[in-house]
Amino acid sequence: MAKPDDDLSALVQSAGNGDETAFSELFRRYYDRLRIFAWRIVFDSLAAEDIAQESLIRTARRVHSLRDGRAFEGWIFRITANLARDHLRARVSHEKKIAAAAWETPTNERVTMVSEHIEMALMSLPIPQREAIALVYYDGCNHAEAARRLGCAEATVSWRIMLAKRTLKKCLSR
Amino acid sequence: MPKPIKDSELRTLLLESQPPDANDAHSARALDRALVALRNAPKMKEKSFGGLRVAVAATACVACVFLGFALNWRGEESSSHVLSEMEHIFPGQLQAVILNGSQTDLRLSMFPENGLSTDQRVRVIVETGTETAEILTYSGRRICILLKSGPLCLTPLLTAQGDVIVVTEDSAFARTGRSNSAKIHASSIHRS
Repeated sequence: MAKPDDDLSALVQSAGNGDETAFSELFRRYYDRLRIFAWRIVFDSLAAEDIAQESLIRTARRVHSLRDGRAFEGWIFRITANLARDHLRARVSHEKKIAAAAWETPTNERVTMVSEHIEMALMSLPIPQREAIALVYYDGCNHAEAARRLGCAEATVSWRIMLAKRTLKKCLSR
Repeated sequence: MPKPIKDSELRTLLLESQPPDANDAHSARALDRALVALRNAPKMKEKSFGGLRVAVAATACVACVFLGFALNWRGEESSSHVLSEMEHIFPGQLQAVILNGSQTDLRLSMFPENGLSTDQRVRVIVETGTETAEILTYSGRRICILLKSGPLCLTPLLTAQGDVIVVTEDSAFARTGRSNSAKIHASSIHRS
């Protein structure tokens, strides 16, 4: 088995040809970053692990179709963001069903379980703003890089960050 | 009156939020599952269409035939002609014809579908800074293409007025708009 280069494109190409060592290296580099990125969107550690796992399984299934290794990072972060959104949609739907079955109004129990004031403030943000904050503040991306990973315009990321900051400042200054 | 927070203070506050540690057992299981998926995935060199060798062979043949059309591409009239030819070869199976640079790709369903509507034809042009892809398809079909900048999925919808609305994962617009860093232009194709 050929030893993969340290270069991301070469790793992606080797993984696309079925090289398990190369894919394991990609896994080692990205699993935790994806897990943390997912956690910053869903704020549920088990769900974040599942999302990171599913992202990398999907990556393994489709990496052969990626023609340009440089697009890899944006690609897997977008897969993760979409899975996190799906998870949140399913969770909201599930919670509504439970509340309806119990003849209760939906409670914000999950929110109150997250004791950290900052996390509660972050959870109050709409999902696109959470994604932007996760990439810019926690993954160290500039707006252009975050836009590439989220598949939107740089101006859109800047706008989302501006709105998020306004909300966070309001929440955290109470 | 609460004291306003400065940007630098907000950054410091946000960095106080620490994610939980990874579960090593979960991570090991995740790697095992991903490697199983990798073993079962097609390889880069194979270029398969859902693993169907017959489909690969058929597509390769058609791509060769299609190259002739591609060389004489003349916009809407030719788009209509190409779709008619492909519908004739793959009745009830054609989902889309995609031209990306010198590459031609056909999207076919696995089996012919009865009553598949082919009268609402749409032409979608996707432009990024480095490449231009042309999609010939039908209203209501969700088409995903892999650009150098990443995957892009869209669904063109033909309106009663003959206008085309394009729905992507992050936006919806009439005729011309942007998604995934790509400029998209859609128009209807009239039968020649």
